[in-house]
Amino acid sequence: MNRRKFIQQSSLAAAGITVMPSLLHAGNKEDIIFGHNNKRYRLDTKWGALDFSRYPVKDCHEMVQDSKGRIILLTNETKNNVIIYDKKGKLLTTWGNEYPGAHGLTLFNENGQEVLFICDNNRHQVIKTTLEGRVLLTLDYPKETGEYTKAEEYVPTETTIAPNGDIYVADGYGKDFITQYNYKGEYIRHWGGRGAEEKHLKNAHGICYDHRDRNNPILIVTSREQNAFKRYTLEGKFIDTIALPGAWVCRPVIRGDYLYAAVLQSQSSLWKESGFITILDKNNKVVSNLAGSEPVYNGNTPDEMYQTIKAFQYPHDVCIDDEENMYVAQWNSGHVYPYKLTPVV
Amino acid sequence: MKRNILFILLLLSTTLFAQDTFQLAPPLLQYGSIFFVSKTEVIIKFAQAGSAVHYTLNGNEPTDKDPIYTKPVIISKNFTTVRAKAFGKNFRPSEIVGATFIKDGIPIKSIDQTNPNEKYPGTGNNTLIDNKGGIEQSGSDTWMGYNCDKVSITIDIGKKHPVKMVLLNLLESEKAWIFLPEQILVYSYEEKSGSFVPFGKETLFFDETTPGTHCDYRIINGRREIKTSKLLIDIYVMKHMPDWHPSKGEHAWLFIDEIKVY
Repeated sequence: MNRRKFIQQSSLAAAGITVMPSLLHAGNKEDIIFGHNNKRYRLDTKWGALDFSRYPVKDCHEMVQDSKGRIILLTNETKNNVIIYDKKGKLLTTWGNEYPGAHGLTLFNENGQEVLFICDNNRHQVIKTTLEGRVLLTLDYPKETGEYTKAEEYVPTETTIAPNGDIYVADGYGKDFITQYNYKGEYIRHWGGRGAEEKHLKNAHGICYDHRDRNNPILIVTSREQNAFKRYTLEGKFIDTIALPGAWVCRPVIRGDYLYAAVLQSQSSLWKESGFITILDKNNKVVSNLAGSEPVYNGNTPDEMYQTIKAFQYPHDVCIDDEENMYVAQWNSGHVYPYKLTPVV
Repeated sequence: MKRNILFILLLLSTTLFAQDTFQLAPPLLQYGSIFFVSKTEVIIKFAQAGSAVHYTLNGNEPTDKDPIYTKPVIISKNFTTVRAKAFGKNFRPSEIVGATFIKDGIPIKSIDQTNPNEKYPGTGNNTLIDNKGGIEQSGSDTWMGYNCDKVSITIDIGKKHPVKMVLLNLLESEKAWIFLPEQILVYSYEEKSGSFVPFGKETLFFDETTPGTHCDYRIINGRREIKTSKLLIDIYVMKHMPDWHPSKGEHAWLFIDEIKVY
């Protein structure tokens, strides 16, 4: 090819690009609408991206929002276990070097002071801290239950705190018991564990205090390998199962009338980065799956659900902010920082 | 010249699209079992607006020119492979999903095998001749799991029958320490001598890793067609996992869910 021809070609190619944006726009990542019914979102995959050499992450496990509107991320990277962003994705601060197994993150407003509860898989402990990282309380493995002979058997994944300060810990990677303490960390009771009955749990990965029915608050616990949530009274009496066929649900997150959950992966495509996000209404019916199959009901249980768009790899938690935006933290997904989704109105 | 320019434009547009769009996930293939007697049905699910699933039955990679899935696919021919792929205007096409369906062979009257590991007992003595299986999950109770050195299986087909080949359906999932066997030896019963004589064999090599979890059927052809009433199959489980495996040197597992005789 001679030089003249080359110039001719490259200029034409450049012209081609300028003509194409309208075409490109149709398939643009940010332009895809995720979800169904009244829960539909646009995705921003760049929201939480930081300079990896300065603020690295390993698994991004969980996120919460504090009363100042800040988004708090927990990662098992001990260079900065806690990374705090503003809602625009700007880095505000980081702290924490002593949580190698940082997994569960729950925020609780304790008489005006906000505190965090961190579950550490490797330390086999639950640690209560201030928002700045000062340790207030450490809960070791619950000997009082009589179910454990050593710390290693206890691998807590999640906490939830009732309004009276009672602490519920889910041992999702250990023996799947739920242990309830009072606000001082004194053992009250435990339940769950593995077994053949419906009240038992398998991979009790998450727990939340569900106050959507104001007169009748309850607990919702994840039984991830059973692709289900299970409901219990605040005293641990089993109520019923919310079956979610196909969905490896992580912790339930309540905001308004809705329950949101990251789905680590689809049962139909195990360990192949087949995650999505599911949203249930106040009757615990799936109304939307982001990057997942449109929910279909023939009776009380949805048809098997599965990933349809490879937008997420292994989503591990969602956080819904005060403006209904969603943030998604991912496990084992190539050190990816959190994504943000904005509702489509 | 014009053709060159068009080509460059096309290349540019496809690479730009590739970077800027999401890929669809593979569709869901639903079937009770890959084994069937006379015919079986495959359902393909993919509830994603703006997409369509195209499929083939001849083993070829599906393109958007192949039929769009609209209703269950009926399969009656042995070794039919269903392959499906999702396409959508604003997305990159999905990876292909597929399964090969295996028709019943010479009826097996009875079977006897080495006892499986107690954790993976299958569904009992007839697990390998129940036409159930092909489920790509080691937790499915259609599989019998072994971690001993050798598995022996004796098959009785009643009266003498011409036999050409034997099929074993196996699971491969290296991450879960489940490997294909190192060797499969098949013997046929010879009435004259009252003993089992060599029928055919297969030796497998493990130079490279195979990612993921999937079914793999192995066919052992006879050196010639023989008439027999019984077969003996000796399966040699991998004793030491290869050097490239994270747990090299450890004893591997064998998972088997079905045997066919043709």
